[in-house]
Amino acid sequence: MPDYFCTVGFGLNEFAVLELEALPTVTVQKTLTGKVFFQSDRNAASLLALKTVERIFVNVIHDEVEPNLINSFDDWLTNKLCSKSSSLNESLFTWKEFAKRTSDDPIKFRINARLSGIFRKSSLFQRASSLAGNIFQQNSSLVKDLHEPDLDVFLHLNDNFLTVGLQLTKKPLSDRCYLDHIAVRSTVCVAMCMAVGLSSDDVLLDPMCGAATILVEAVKQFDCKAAVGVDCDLLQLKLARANLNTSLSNSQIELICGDSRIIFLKQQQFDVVLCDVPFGRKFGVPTEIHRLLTSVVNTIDAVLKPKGRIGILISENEHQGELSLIEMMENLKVPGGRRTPDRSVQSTHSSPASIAIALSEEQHRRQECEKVIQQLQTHISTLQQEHAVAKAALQRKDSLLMQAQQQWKTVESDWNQRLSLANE
Amino acid sequence: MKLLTHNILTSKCLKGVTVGYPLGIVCHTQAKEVKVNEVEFNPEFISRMIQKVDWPALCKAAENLGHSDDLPPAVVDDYENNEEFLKKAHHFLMEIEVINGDLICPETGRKFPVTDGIPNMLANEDEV
Repeated sequence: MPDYFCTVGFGLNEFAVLELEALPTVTVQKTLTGKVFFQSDRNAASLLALKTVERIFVNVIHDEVEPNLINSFDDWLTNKLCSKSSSLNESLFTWKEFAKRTSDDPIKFRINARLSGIFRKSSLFQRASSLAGNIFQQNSSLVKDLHEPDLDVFLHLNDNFLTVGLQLTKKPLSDRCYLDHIAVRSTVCVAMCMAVGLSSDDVLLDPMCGAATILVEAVKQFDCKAAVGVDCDLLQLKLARANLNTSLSNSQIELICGDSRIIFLKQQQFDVVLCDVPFGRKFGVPTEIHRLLTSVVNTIDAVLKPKGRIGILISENEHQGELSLIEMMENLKVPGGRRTPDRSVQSTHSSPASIAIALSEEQHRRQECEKVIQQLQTHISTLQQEHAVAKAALQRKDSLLMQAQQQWKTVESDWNQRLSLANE
Repeated sequence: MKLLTHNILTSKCLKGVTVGYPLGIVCHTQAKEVKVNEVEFNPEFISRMIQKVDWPALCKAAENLGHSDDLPPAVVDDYENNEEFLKKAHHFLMEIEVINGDLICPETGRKFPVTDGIPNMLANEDEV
């Protein structure tokens, strides 16, 4: 059976392993931060349907790194790559099956190298890429092509391991073609649904839905039949509407504009509440965060059915908020307090891994912010150009006016002279 | 907004409102403001929803939209096996959508606008 590995978002290892182990033909062998190694038969469909992983690779090399090799780096890498040329050809065979490649044309490839830890130097990066490229070209039927490769070869070297793999799909598995506006990363949405054990019978609420990515994933991947998304921002709801229109033929998701700190929904209607609490962005001050959380948790408490489940996504750097959140959730279960006899609070944040989910989500958010900044910068530069053009035009007008004024003056003095002459 | 969603909305959050349910529905020009969307009929799902739905509120909503004649006034016994009834419930809960109009608090008359199918339940701070 061929060896594979997949890359996963920070903190999602646990969920990727769960998903892999659910497949009958898969044996998980090992997990490292951000990677899961496994064996499987060549059942392409089930592997390509994984929902919590980023990319999937056929494993060519996974070896420990010897200490102090930085001085003999080139020799060591050459040796490693050459000694595994048979493994490379076996992996290529598997890759061809996945890529459904039947023609005998040479496969175009490029090396996609990532060096971290002590190897993180640009000079090493270039050497590693070109070395690996040359060796692969010599030892197989592959041809280098940086621009339009059929195959991306992933080479990752960190302080502990050298990992080389052939990427099975051109796009990451986590790309969801059906979403225009992504607010929460699709893999994180799926992990949240998994954490609360979402089933197709559950009626789902997202009290702060934004662009409704969590709800769309719940419908697409878990066949959820009724979901409600609430947000207080009409602009966000427009994005949500656009997402629903492109992704779903049936309208399983209903949108409501409202403030989730206030209860405007009937009590005990929902089986599951999933929420990416947006504090930290809008609500910077701790006391404000606390106030927001208290009222949102109250709302969730009111609208959730007995035995309902809650999944909340929070960021690692909002640790303070998280602690108070756990406290609040636990208060819900205190007997004699409110109507909460046997509700299981299964918030995603209670496992350390999912705190990390939030980190990857935060990183994604930052990327989005950078995009917005870029857009704003281009906007500014067009404005500046327009401004410059306008300024030049103004200057031209000024000089024309000056000329006209001078002309007028000469005409005037000329006239005055003639007038005085006539008078005499 | 489906009538299933209308069924769970209340205006109880407003100051001085004790029940705030069900909200009235007003659509000005019927033809444009209400849409009927065909949705796949799933008898098990509808049966489950009927257990939760406030039937009188659904009837009221249907009446507001001028469709009251087609909807039985109460949930029939043994509805799980009554396909005709389930289909009607399915039509009213899942297929009729209010696109533009107003939801009206039964006690204060406060209007909550529905725009492009999205009810706006936001209230000012002095109202709650």
